[in-house]
Amino acid sequence: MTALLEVRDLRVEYRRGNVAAVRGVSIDLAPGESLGLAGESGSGKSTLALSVLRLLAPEAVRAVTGRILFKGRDVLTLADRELRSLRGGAVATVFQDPFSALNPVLTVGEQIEEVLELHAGGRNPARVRDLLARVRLPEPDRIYSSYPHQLSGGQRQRVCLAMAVAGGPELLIADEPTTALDVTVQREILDLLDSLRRDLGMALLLVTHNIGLLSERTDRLGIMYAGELVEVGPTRTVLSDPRHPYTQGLLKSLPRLTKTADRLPALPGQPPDLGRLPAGCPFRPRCPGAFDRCEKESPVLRPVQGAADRAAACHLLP
Amino acid sequence: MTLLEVKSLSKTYAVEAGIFRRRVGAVKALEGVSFSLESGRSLGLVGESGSGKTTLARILAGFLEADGGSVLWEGRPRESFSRNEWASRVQMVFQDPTASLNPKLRVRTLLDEALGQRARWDRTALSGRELKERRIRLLNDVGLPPDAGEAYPHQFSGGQKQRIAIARALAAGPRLLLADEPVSSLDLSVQAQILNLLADLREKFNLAVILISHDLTVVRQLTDRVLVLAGGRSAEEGETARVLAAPQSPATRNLLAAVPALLR
Repeated sequence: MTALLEVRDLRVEYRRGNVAAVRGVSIDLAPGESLGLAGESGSGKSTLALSVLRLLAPEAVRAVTGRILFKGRDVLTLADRELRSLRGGAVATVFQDPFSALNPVLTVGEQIEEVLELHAGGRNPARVRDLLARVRLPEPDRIYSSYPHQLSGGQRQRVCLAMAVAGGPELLIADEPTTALDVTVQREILDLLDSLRRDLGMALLLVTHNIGLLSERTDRLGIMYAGELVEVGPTRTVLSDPRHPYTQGLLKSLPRLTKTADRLPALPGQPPDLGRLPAGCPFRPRCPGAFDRCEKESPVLRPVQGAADRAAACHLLP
Repeated sequence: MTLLEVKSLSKTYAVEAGIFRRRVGAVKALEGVSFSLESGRSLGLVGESGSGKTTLARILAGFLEADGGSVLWEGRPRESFSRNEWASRVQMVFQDPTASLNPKLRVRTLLDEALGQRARWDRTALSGRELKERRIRLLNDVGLPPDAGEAYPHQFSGGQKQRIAIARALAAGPRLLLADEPVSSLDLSVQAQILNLLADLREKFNLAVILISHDLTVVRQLTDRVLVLAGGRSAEEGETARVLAAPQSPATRNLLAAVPALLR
């Protein structure tokens, strides 16, 4: 199957601190597929996700190299007009904070109508009510004429989802969509995201620091560390049989309901400062298996032996 | 020995409206909540936002007065303690260490102020050398090198800042630490280090800990007992392992359902 989205050797450098937040990442997304991207602060996951629609503030970015192909066309070279029609149309986004994503002085209905006007052939109140019902908001008529501040956080994120799917996207990019919400609401929003994706046949790029959330929601999982993709594969196998020492160490360190010991096997150290990356492998200072080669040569992502659908970047692997 | 006893604690907030702040109603944030905590033991305080856990923590920290019920420290009512006496017994660690540390002060100054304050409460004075010794011991207790004192908070990572915030709380020599979501703003790979540190400190100083969290995996790891709050009332209380294995209240079941399968 041809990919819907192909990211090739993407590198994003910020002016501030003169750092590269994404350093040579390649990843594919098939139509209708859901891909999770997990990583900590400074891993580059959000920079990567925002780059897909060129949503990074131009004054903050020094250079973007590589290619981002959406249905074969390079987003990085699109004219402004084409880019505008892509945003909110074939590619939609939802972010962490639903309040700042909505216009406070327009009613919910008005904001969704605007999306329809731009991307779906014109205003259509019946369609807006249908969308509100689709994101499981009660009383679509009341919500239609409500302002964002009259809704709860979970309801606002549902409105954002309704706006996102209003343009009939083929790809939805969700960057920490539930981080600002209560734990029990998080689950509802993720369930909704899941069912929307299936019903509408969209592909989903779900970015989060909370690796646990991705376990039940995505087909494939990519793990990012210090601007690099260090491991990728089917979510289930990456989580049950991680190959990169970072993924292994991280998963082992997480507290669980089935507590096994009074102390957790914590990873030492902290995520690296992008301005002062160690030579060689960026994970080397925290890696229990590091050897001299790791200091000299940064490992590249390559297929895992015996698992064609998996890849990892580590010198320890055969 | 019972360190802290909370008896049918209640707190109501007034709901005001209009430019004259007319009272139009009331919200019961806490209604008849009771529990007790033994010296050196740990209790998890869990619930969704609006469950009353933050109100309860703020009352225990002494930031807020309750309307009804009582808080007893070794049998003595909280009102009979001065602000300083209470602060030398109960200290708090917050979710966001960046917001809780003064960015203009060196770590050394932050810790020395807290150590000096405790000495004054005890009506003693510390010499410069004693102060330095205690500061270095404190830094060591939280896993930081002696020269960490020379730097400013912003020069540290999130996990290290939380270590500094914990050191400052310990400087007051508390017997109870209130930890409000102490790891939820930290990077995932650093959370385990801080949870281990809190477990170490509990053991080393026979420190009682009340952990306020929405994350049941963290509560399971760190606490002996758990109190589940819902709508300002106690929904369930008991041994953490038992409550989480066989939840009796819908509130507990809801929170458990939010735990991803990966972490069960």
